Amino acid sequence: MAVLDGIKAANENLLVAAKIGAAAALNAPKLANTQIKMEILTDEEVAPLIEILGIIGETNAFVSGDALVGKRALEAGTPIIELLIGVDGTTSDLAWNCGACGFNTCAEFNRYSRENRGAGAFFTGPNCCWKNFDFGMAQSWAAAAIAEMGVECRCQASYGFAGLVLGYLEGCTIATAVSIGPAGESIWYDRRDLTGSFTMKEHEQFMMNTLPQLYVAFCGGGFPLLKHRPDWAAEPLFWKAKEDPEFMAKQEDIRARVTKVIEREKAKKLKK
Amino acid sequence: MSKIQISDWPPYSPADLARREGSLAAAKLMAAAAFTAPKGGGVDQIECAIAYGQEEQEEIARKVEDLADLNPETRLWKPICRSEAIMVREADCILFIGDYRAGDSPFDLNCGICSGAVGCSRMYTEKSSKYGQIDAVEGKAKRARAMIDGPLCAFWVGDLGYAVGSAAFIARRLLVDSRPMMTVGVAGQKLGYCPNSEIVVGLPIAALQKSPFWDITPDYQYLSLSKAISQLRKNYVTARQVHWFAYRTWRPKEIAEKEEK
Repeated sequence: MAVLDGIKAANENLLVAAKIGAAAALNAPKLANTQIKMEILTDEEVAPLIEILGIIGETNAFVSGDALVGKRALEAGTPIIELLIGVDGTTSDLAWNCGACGFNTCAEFNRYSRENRGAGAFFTGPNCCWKNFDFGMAQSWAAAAIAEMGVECRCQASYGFAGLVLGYLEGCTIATAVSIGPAGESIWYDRRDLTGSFTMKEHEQFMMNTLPQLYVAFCGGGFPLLKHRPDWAAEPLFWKAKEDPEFMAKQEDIRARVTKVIEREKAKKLKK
Repeated sequence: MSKIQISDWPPYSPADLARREGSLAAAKLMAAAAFTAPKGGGVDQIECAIAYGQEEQEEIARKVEDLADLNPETRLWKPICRSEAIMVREADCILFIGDYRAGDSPFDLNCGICSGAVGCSRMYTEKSSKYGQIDAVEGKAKRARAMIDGPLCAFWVGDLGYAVGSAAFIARRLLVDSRPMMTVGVAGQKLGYCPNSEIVVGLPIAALQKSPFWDITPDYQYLSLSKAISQLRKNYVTARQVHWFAYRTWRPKEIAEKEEK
């Protein structure tokens, strides 16, 4: 007989939840006979994903929060587990000719897909809608099965994307991850790890940047005043769209740094 | 207080109707799960509708049968439609789940799922767009897609998968039978279920002693339970007339009786 540390045991056992989640994804209903691919990353294997998301997060608040929670968990010795789920949806073998992809026949879609394969901001396409739909159902079953066990988890496209660019789920064009653990309450939802990560002033600026409709005053001459503070008319600010070379340069820098991480990790794998 | 008899036979009898109410309750819980399913950015996009009743289900089944003729070159299309039409009739009710943003309100993430490098611009150029908005009505007749007016926002289609998956998961938890069907969704959408959605998936639901959605035969339209019952009724009534029998005036002798004499 032995006495186990409950918290340690809970975190050690997250892998079991991940495996059951994977089984649930396979067990999920499929409309289009879609082949799902999965890989489970544990311990230090999640570190490069977190690193990549940290870099991308410099200009993306959503992603930066995802990265920070993963990072803090790793630092605390209770690393998250990533159940990566992916699919290659670039070919339709259905011949349903449903039109959802924008083509009248699956044959037309397949031709277009062969000739126009490319990466968007996150994933490679084009993909058959029904393959993608099945992929969503599989994700949903994995997460639901894990949540049923009372295990902390969240479906996240960010970690799926990071996994894909790092070479996991070979051959897949879309991927999402179920981030599992650390064992605790609403780790991925309340995000207590983000406590103190922004000031109220930064928050107010973020809201004005992302929801300008709330701040727009009388439209007047076509460039409306912004209600940026209670006495907004005293110091007029105007809403205008303009190019942002500084932001674009930052994006370029992010792309270059992410590529470096990808190459470093590839080299590591080759050494192994 | 009242005594409620619950049975799954004969169909649409009072006892069967009492049973069907359970499936209807399950359908509503499945819809709740579809609403709470994960969604990209938490953005609202899902609507649900329920078809409950013999007339409603018959109308949907006939529409699914109409779809069967759409892809004459596709070997499996017709058998799928014909089989699923039967399942619609045998179900207790049908839950429809649609995505009302997929057709004209993409996530604008430029994610690449629908078109690769072209990103969201494909949807904004193939459909009529202005002021950063898409009007899917303009040019719809010209696009003339057979079933669904694409292109759709594929990110949202994936989210529809989450919603339908969650609904199906709840059905499993409740031990009620259900199976997501594309044909039923298309038929329902054409009949006005989930009227705001360009893509709809149907989930027939049943709490019968044998699930109508699995273990079916090839050529199911010839071998369904309703066909078998219809055939049995036909044969039975003729078979029982073969020996004309005035039951009030005589009774055929048993073999033993005959031997005694």
